[in-house]
Amino acid sequence: MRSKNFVEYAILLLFKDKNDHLFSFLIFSFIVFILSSTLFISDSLQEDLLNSIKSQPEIVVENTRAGRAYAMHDGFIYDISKITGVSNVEGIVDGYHYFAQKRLWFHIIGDATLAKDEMIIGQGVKNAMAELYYNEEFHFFTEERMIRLKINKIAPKSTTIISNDAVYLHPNTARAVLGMEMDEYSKLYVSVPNPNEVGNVSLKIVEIYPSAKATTKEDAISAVRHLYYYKGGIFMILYVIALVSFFILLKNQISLVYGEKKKEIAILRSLGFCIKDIIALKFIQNTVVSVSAYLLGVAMAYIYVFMFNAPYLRNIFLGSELENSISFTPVIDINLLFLIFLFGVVPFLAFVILPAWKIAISDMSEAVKS
Amino acid sequence: MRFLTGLGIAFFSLYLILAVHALSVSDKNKAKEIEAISSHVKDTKLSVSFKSNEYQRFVYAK
Amino acid sequence: MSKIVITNLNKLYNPNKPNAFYALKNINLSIEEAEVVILKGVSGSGKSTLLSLIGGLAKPSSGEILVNGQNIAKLPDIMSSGYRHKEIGFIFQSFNLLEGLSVYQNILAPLSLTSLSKEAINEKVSRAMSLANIEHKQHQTVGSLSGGERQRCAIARAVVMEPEIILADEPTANLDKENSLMFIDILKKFKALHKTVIIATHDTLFDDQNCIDRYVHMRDGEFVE
Repeated sequence: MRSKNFVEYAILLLFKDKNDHLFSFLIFSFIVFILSSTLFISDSLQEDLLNSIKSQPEIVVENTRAGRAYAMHDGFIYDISKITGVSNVEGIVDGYHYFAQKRLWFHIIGDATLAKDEMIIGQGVKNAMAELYYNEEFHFFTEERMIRLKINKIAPKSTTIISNDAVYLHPNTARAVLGMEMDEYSKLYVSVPNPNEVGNVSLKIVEIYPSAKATTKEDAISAVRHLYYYKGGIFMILYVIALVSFFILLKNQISLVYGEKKKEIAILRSLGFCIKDIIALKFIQNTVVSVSAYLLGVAMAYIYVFMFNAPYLRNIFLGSELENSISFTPVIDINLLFLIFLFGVVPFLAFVILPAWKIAISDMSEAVKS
Repeated sequence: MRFLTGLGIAFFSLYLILAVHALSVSDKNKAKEIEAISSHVKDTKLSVSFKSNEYQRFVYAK
Repeated sequence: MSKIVITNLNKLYNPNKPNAFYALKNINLSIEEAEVVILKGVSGSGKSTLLSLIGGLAKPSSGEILVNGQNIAKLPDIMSSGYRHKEIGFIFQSFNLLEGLSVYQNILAPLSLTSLSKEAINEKVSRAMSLANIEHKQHQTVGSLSGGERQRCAIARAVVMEPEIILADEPTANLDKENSLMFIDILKKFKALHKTVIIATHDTLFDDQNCIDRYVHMRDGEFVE
């Protein structure tokens, strides 16, 4: 156990080289900040999305033609409902309407609980419409005509994660806006009471309709869980930034024991510091720097994401065409934070302590003579 | 030692504030409202608004 | 028993290489307690090497160095460091101060390895600064000191642990005449404190000084008469 005097002297020497240590401190804080912010945003969004897929149907069927989404008709519903294990098939309307004046796409969603001319819009849609003075009602321009609808309600702010770009309409109104026929559907919800039969049923659906896509509830949950895996281009870029910064940091760490610092170690050795003392000194100094930087990085990430709702970074995750006022609910993954600590602090310390040890065991008599 | 003590107190206070914030933010309402919408719009998706599909595919590597 | 007994000491640099050479050859020396000894010789005569070995900064290739009866040539690192910490005060030719720290903070370095109270530490540092006559500069960073002041800081640091043995390697090499004479004054203080002092130098200023007990001449790693 090192004496208080030793620890104080280690801190004294830390401040002597404060510029070098400050550089390491800032870079490491930045790396931890980036990684933690990404982690906090993705965990928070995933938590909300997992809440939203609780009512997800067992199978969602979408049709394609030439690789593009294509409507389905009653025949699909009839054929699929005949499959053993299927208890119900519900057709729904879902598509995108181009708001030409602002060059935006609105997500049109058919909601059977709404009245024929009722319309509920998301926060982002409301703001986009309001910019062109559509405050009370909105005009949908289709190939055939203009559809005028009153804005009845705005979706609650807390549901922004799924409703921001959405316009909820009665299915028939939605068909009119999207230019679909009255007997056409964009998606089919298939209910399969027995979870063990879901796989079989989805295979049978694709057998009957080879161009159809049958997504199970498990697939949907998995997609949410894997939303922010490294495969995403943006996350790759963020992690590359963190990695490059890390290498710059490690290089700086090594330089903390070479050049002038090498002589310093020799001087301390000549005054009676044994090899263990030198290592303890470097360990204390760099533990203070790395742990403080880590704590600061995580705290800044928390404040940035959960108090300020991650400006700029959230646009990377959610796009910025529509104004998005999502608020992130604090979700803390201790395991991953610990991993960041482990894979950050340990190399940080190793890249100083190992060279310091190497220098400490070398011949000090030549070093102190120069 | 004074420096280390001060540093410790500063971080302790900071994290105490963050902990109070985390505990005070009530998300029960949020969860309820999200579940309410998704009970009649069952197949919900993350509401994104990227400039183009290509950019969205780049972000989410679909 | 003599304070320091050196027997058949050899130091070979670059062993098994074409440029191998003996910095010290078969050195035998006895130094009594409170004796002040000058190692005289030109550059390359081996006096700095001998000082390094006595100070535990390096290990000999063969031979024995007994200090207070203990062979310091074969000590493991922890004990060797303990020896340098408590028994030796080394004053280097280039002073070897920690740049960026003040005089006080430099002198503090050896004391950081102790568990002394703040008051005890302050007292020791004050005493060391007083002996070296550097108190008035204690809060100045060593970078802003003159050559003589830097040396006095180095002297204070060397004596702060109150070691029995003081080793000085070319102490006046980087000093002007005035500061060199100041060093002689400090040497007399060491003598008054019964320190065993060994100085490696080729400065003629040390010739015919009353405080010096013995002169040992060296050439090419050996003693000469």
